[in-house]
Amino acid sequence: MEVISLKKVSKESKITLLKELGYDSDGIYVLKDGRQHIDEYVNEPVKLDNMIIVPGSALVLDDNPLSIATYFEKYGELL
Amino acid sequence: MSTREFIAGVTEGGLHYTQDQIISFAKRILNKDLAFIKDEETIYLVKESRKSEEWKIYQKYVKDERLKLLVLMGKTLRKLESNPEKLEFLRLKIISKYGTEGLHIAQFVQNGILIKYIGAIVGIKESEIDLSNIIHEILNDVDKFCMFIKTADKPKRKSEELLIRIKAIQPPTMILFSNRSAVKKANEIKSLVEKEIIEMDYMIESIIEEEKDTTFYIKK
Repeated sequence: MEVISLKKVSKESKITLLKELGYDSDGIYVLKDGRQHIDEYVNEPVKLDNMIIVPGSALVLDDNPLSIATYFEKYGELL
Repeated sequence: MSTREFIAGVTEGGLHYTQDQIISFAKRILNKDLAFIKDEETIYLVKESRKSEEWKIYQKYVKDERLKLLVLMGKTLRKLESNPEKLEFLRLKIISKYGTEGLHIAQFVQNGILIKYIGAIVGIKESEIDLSNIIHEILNDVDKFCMFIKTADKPKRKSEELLIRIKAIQPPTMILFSNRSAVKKANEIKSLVEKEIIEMDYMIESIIEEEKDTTFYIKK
C-alpha cells in the first residue's frame, strides 16, 4: 500500500479529499453528516491538521498512538 | 507514473491536487491501495512497540482486546518517557477512551511491573490458563492489587493499609511499587509487614532496578 504524508498537502486538497470520501470540514474539524467526526478509538473529534486517512470502516482517524494501535489490532499493520 | 508525479502544483499552503487526482486517491483508499498519514513517527512508534519480545509475551497471556491495547499503550508510554509533551498527549488520549482506570493499567505496564510479575510467577503457576486468568484479574483491578508508594507516604500507615488489604481480599498477588526517593519509604513499609505477610502464607519477591523497587507478595 502506498502511503502519502498529509503534512505537505494543502488545506483545500485535504477538504476536497474528505468530501470525496463522504466527510467535510469546517476548516478546523473533520465533519461527518454536518457534525464533528469522532475518532471512535479515542472518543475525540478529529482535527483537519491531525487527521490520517486509512482504509477500513473508520477511514478518518486522529493521529495518535492509541488510534493507530487500535487500527493495527483490527486490520493488521497495513501501513 | 507515481502518486507524487501526479502532483499538479505546489501552492503556499502545500501541495494542491486536481479534482481528478483526488477522485483517484479516494478510489485507491477504498480499494485499500493508498493511505494518508500525518508523518511516519506515530506509526513507527506503534510498530516498534508491537515488535518487541515483551509484546510477544503479553500476547500469550493477555487475551482481552481492551487490556491488550492498554498493555501496548503502556509499552508506548515507556518509549515516550524522554518526551514529556508526547507522553502527556498519549496519557490524555488513554484517559479519554478508557478513563483513569485505563491509564493506571497502562502505567502498570509502563513501569515494568507486568513483565516482572510474569517473570516472578511463570514457574509457580501450573498452566498458561492459570497465569492468564491471574494476569487478567490483576490488570482489571490494578488499583486493588498494586500499591504505588509516594515519597510523602507515612510508612506505618501504609503498612497497616497493606496488611488490611491482604487480610480482607486475600489476593493472589499484592504488589508494592516505588521509584526514586519513594524507594526508601517502601523499604520501611516492607520491613514493617514482612513477618506478618509470611505468616499469612505469602512468598516475597523484590526486584530492584533503575531506581525502581517492585515487590510482589505472592500467595503460595
